[in-house]
Amino acid sequence: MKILIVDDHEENLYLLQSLLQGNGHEVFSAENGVEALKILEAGGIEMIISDILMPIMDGFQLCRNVKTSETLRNIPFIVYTATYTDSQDECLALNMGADRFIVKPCEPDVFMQIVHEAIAAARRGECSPKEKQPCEAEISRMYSERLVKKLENKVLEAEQELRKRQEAEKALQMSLDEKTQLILELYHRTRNNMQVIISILTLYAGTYKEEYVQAMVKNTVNRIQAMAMVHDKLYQSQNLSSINMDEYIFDLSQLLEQSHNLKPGKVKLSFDLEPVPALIDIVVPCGLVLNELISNALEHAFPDDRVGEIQIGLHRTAEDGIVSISVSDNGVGLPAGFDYRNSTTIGLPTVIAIVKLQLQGDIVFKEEKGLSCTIRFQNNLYRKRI
Amino acid sequence: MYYTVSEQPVQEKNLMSRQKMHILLVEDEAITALMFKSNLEAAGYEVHTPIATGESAVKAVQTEKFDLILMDIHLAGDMDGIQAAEKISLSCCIPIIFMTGYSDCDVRLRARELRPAAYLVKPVSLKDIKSAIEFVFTEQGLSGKESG
Repeated sequence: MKILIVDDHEENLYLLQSLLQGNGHEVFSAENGVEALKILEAGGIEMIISDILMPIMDGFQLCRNVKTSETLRNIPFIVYTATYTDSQDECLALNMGADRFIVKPCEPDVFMQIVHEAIAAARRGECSPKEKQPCEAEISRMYSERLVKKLENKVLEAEQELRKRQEAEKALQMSLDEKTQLILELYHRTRNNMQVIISILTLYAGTYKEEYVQAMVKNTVNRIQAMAMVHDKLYQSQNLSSINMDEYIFDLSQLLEQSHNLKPGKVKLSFDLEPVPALIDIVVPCGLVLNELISNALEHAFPDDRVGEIQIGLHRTAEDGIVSISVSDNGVGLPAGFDYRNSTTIGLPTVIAIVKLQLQGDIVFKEEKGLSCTIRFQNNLYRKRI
Repeated sequence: MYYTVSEQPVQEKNLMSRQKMHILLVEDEAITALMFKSNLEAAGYEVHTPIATGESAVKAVQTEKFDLILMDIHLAGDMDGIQAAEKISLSCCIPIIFMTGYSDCDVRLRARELRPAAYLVKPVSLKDIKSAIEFVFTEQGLSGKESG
């Protein structure tokens, strides 16, 4: 038998097609009422199995079209629906001329039994519309009522869905606020701990008179403050994970200049800083390196009454994301015979270790009008985690 | 780290006046409190035994006269440093320097409403705090002449 199945869901069509073909029927399919009517016009269809809720033309309208058509009215029409499932829906479908009304999902055996009954009834000529049908106006009224009812249900479902989403959104926002608060609290704790470390060092330093102890403590406090400044910048940044390295370098340089108590006008700091956002993993080691380089220049490049300038640069190449930071002074340069690679002080070996090991970059010292140091590294060394 | 204070180094001319300057230190971190107290005393200031809660700070200013309050914001007890400073400002006018690990906008804005003499973000070095105190005394006219 040639059966036309009408459904806007591909999976439903596939399942029905498999079932009917498995039972020896030839199957045609359409995705809505209009497509179905086109296939029906071509002739030959002996049974229609249709869903109700479909775009363009629904199953009720298709049924009405079929059962009011002189040429199609005797084709048995089975409604197979998952949406219009109450008794009034069934009543409307049957009043419109449908021969059977099946609610999805239906067991294949039961479904095929109903199909075969309908085929048998059709062969007995029982599938023609009843002589006494409700008038057109009554059917229209019933149809409108069913649509309105369905629409009300859909609105209700949508409202429930909206409420659920709003609740989920609220829960997400609360969770986000909580996490943000936690991060801020963590940064606060970190800063407090840094304060305690500085306090311990300062207390210890107070028990010694030797200048080298005071200098060591001062350098260590500066290093801690360089790291603390990263946290300060993170606080101020929108995303709490990356900061503007140019702003950081500028502020750090100012802090170092102040901490060295130089005579006004002795050393001028000048900047050539490109905007470079970077992760905390990059900024902290850079801060430590800059702390050493700038402190070295401030302390040793301009002995006695010598005045001069320290230039601090930050650049990046657009193509490969390589960042370069330079600190150059026009001071006295390195002492004769000084080999920075084999320096016995902690400063330069620390710088070299940080650049090579931690930043996986390179470092170049040049002695021209003073000392210049440039470090280069990839800015994408670490993955963004937040 | 400075936010609202001048960068002027400690003025030698004020050394004498410090003998008379009475500072209330409100800080719940014992080591930090100890460091500030001992070093500020070594620098010539008179520092009250550190206090760890906002409530005790409010009580302290009712029984003793202070020229300056160094106030941490995160404190033990129910009252934070800003609330304590607010309460103190209702009864007397003492310059307040906030020093805190918080540097987010909300806390800063709350603190700023009280017009503090300075807002220092931890870690604060001894030099930072000395400059801030000196700035306050210079600005407030608490020189040797007025206080001594």
